[in-house]
Amino acid sequence: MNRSIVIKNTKKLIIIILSFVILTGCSSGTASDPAINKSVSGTAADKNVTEPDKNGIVTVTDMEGNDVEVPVNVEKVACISQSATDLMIAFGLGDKIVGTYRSFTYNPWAGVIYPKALEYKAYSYSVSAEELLKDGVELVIIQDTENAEAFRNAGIPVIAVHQYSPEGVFDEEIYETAHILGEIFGEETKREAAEWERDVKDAINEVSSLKKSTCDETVYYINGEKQKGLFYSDGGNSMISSILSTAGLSLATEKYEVLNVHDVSDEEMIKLNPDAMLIGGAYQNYLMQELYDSELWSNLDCVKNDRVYRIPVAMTGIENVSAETPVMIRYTASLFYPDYDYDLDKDLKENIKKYFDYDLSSEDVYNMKNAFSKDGEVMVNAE
Amino acid sequence: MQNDYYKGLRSYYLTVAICLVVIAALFLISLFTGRYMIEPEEVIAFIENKEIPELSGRIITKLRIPRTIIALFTGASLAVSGAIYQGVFNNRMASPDLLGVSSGASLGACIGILMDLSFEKIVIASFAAGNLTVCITVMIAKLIGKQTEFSLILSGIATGGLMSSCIGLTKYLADDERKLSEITYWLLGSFSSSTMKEAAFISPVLTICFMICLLSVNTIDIISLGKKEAKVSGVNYNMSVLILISCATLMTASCVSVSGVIGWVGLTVPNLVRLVFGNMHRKVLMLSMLLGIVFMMLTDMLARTLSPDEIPLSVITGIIGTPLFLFSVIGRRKRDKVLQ
Repeated sequence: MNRSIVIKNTKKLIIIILSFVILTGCSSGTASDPAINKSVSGTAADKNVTEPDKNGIVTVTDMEGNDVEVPVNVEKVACISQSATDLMIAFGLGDKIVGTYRSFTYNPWAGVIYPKALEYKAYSYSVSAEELLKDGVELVIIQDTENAEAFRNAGIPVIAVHQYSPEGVFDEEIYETAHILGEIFGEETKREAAEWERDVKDAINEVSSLKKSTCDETVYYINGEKQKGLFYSDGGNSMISSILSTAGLSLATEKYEVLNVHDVSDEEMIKLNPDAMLIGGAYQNYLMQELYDSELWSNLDCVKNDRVYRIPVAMTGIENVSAETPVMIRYTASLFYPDYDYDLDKDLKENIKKYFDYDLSSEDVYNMKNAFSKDGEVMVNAE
Repeated sequence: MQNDYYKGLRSYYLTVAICLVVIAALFLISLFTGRYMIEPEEVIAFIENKEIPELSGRIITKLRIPRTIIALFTGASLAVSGAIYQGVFNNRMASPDLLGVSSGASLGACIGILMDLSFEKIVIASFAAGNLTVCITVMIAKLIGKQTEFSLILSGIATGGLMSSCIGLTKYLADDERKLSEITYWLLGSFSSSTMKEAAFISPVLTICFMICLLSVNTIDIISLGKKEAKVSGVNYNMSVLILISCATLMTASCVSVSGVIGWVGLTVPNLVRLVFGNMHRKVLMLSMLLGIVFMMLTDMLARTLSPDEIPLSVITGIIGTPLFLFSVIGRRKRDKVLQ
């Protein structure tokens, strides 16, 4: 008898406790709504949302097609993209950067060419929204949008930029990041971006004229920005594919979309048998060693024919969309057109002087070409 | 004898009360804990509906409250579903992870991400795949033969392995720069993108499941005795098992769809409760729910406070959960020896 009363009471208690738990959850939820209005009301941010000020907000379409509202006069940017960071510094916006993608901070040349880069915080793609708010970030420019939703939830506008085209061929997209920066930061930046675009187009025109002499070679590219091995490459919708096609060459992995690390098997590599190979990024010295140590890779025709070429590393690997893109376009062509009269050292010096106001010595250029630091040490990327 | 019973009941209610106080305290603490420093006074002012700095208000309302509510529901759901699987299958090793439900629900969600489905559709895909996985697991266990602990676990491991391979396939097919990272990040579990919309979406479903489960505690006790005993007691065995497993799977799938895969909660928490309070499900379910909430809220606070990046939740639940689970297993063995 007593036991059944206890069980009945227990059931009642369970229901009461459950109701309490649910109410706790729901009340927290409902309480938050007026709180949003309350806490945000009266602030500049809220006025921008509720009473849009045409002069206070600029709407930018990012590379994923999102229309993003960005306040003008943004002062603190988390630029979690090496490419966009390079361009921002080149366009005189380096002061606005609070932090950048961590690989950028590991490149010793960034701090040499632009000392303020040493003060940048190193962010990963999965940095927390609160960390960005703590740093006072007003805008995020990011390459990998895995955590973008969290930033948006925190009220931070997010601009997605990419080194590949979701549509297919990466063509006009080369200029997209620069255009976006121009839209966000105003007329002066638009002028800088337009001048850079002219430089890139000049380089493309110069190289395109070389295509009269037939060159239909295939090139395999190893992305050494991270130590992901010899199979880490890019596909047909990437920046490197676009650079090669400008010079009348084709990427050996053209048929792939942006590649994953192990998408190319050993047998596939033998089948691809590229005519030449390009190795870029801070890890290229390690990868070069790995290449010559590997029985498979060292027996590829391009390796035996000594047609493995390095890509210089400047503010960033120059094969990325960057201020150094015109240099990369001309340099790539020079490797395959022996008659093309080109001086990489001179071009690189002029480019770095023009965009970053830094005078490279001949030794500096030598080190960049070999992915060494200013002191001639092998570049070690801590990632 | 009756004194012991009431003594046990008293300590149970006392634990429930303590858990409720701890949950309320953790909820408050979670509002001022994180990478961005918010003073407790600001949180109190916020609760009192007073003016606080815009940024603090934004962080509390847009980030911390949604993720804390989702942590609360997720902790409760995973722990309760683990307790139900253990009760229904009469197997202390059963949990959403070991039965392959988490992997199955993950596969559904991965396919949803790959196909660019909306959030609601991802939940449905996750639920369908989770349920399908349970069916496959139970069928394989029956094929293996005797309904021992091991046949079920073995089939769970096999099914989970199959689902993991399929997840691997979705990762292989995913776009490297966008969807692959989204899938990878999501598979490790995180509350970083939690919103009130998500909380509002899952809370009614989970609440109904909690109600059904908590009102079925006596049925679970009977079911755990076996099919024959259940029939003798007048319980519709098949229907009850179906409803309970569906509830547990729906809870797991809902959590997986909003926060990714979070391991160990469903296995560790109910086993700890069973160690202390025995196997009566009215105690096991309620305390699992409350301790699951405590466990998950603490995990979330660590995940978002220890480092500038969000630490994946499964990393923390694994580090904390493993020793706790071993403790519960060793504790149970010692207790069984004493009783013998």
